[in-house]
Amino acid sequence: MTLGHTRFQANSNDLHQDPLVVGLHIQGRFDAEGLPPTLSRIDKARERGCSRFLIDLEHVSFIGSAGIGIFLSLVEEMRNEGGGVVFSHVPPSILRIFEVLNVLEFLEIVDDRERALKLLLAPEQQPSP
Amino acid sequence: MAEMEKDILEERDLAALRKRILGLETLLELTRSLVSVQERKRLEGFLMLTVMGILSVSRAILLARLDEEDSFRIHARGLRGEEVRENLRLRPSGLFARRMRVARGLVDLRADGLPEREARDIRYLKKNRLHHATPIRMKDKLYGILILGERVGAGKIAPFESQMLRSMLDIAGIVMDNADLYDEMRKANLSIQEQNERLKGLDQMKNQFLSTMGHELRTPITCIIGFAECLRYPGIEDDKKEEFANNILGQSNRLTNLIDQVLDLSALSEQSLTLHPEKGNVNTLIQEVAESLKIDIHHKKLSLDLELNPTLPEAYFDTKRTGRAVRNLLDNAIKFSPENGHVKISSAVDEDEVSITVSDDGQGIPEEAIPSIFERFHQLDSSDTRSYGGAGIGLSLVKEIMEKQGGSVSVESRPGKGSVFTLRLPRTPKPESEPSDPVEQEAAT
Repeated sequence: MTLGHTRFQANSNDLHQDPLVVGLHIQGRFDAEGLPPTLSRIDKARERGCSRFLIDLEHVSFIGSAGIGIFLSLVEEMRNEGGGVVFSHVPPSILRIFEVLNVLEFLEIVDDRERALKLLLAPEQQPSP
Repeated sequence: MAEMEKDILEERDLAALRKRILGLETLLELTRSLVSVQERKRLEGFLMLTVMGILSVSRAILLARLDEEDSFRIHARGLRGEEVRENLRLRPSGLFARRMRVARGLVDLRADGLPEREARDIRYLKKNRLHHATPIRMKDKLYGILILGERVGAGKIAPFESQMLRSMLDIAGIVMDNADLYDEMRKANLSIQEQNERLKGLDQMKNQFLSTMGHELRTPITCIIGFAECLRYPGIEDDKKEEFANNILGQSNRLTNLIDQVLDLSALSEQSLTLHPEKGNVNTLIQEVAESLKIDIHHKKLSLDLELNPTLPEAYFDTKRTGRAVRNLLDNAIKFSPENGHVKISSAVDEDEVSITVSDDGQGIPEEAIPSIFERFHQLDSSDTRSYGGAGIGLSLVKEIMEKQGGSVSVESRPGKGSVFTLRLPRTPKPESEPSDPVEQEAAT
């Protein structure tokens, strides 16, 4: 599994509110082996004060339970902090797993990056009740 | 209509089957992964995330038990870390901890009948929507408590999921047990390494001791032989003969004292040295020791003050060995005092003790060296050894002699200002140690 890390710069109107959205681009098998580097990247981003994540799953071939655990806890934490997590380019096989686990409604899933950024940077982006 | 219902049922069955397959795959992955993780924190984090994933839970806390004292490390997911650290204090004697010690499987905290007014821990968990808790154990040992929030999707935890959770936690218990054993093994290895270093240090001390002892023995013998040869020359004046004879006597005494000390040290090591404390007056002892070192004091042109309390009560001590202890301190004071310096011995009484203080205005002892000066074979450094002589056994012998008869020795010193050594002796006999109770010993093992 390889992990890409992209920083998206928001437009100037949003800078004073939340200047950064961290993009995580995950590839291959997202299982026990891939957890430590992913967690490390998430922790570093959070230390910088980032509370908005765009997670691109386009090239993920497998996701294990611990990987799903990370996503669920990250979504909950970011909502608690007034941020958010959006998943983009989710392959059908991964969607099926989300569906089996009944977590589809809990996750924000979009088709493309532009829509994801729009959601993350929307002023109404607030924690779910 | 019937066809549609059949389709829905088949779809549901299929979903359940998929979930079951995912669960089994997870169990397999967990087993494979957990056994390769030996570090406890990583293990706990991985376990928590896996359970969250398979049960679709977005918030969880893992309380990892750290030791037998019931202290817990907190891992939290989906909650604000600060909030957890500030608010959650699991009290070992609290209801929640006690409930978890006996629980088997997942406990629904809402339905468990735990009285909220008594359980602050439970109130905190409920407030944060953490409704289920389960112990992680191996046999009867509690390794941690996993507390889970609500599921993000609808639905209760199915029996199959409960069963899978039990299997996961059973594996986790075994792996945590292994991780603890691994930790213990690592600590034991470190301890062996430390012992090894200590033994190396002792070996080095022994070599240094042998080398110094050779020097210490050779010096008086050389003097004795030299002065004895001088005495054989015809025509030596009588006053010179007396001086040579005194030198031979002085060096012989020094040699005898050194050999006695080595024998005492050896006897103390083998626990075969028996002291015979008796009631006596330390002033007399001090005067005798001072008298025996008069020649050395005279040679170094030192002034010796005796400040002896005339109303000193008697104390309990072994005359021969305590005399040796006082002599060692006085020897050191003479050795480390500059020419024309001052040495003082005083006696005093405290409530239960009689004290003997030997002070000098010599070079003093550096603060960092004070804790180790009473260790066997310890010397300040090799250059001091050459300048002042000594085998590094005098002070350790003083300490061991004093402790063996219920007394003590202490030192105060400042570099350049001199040192003050104080011996304390009991005024009443040291109580005999009582034989241990064999029944208690058996119960303890």
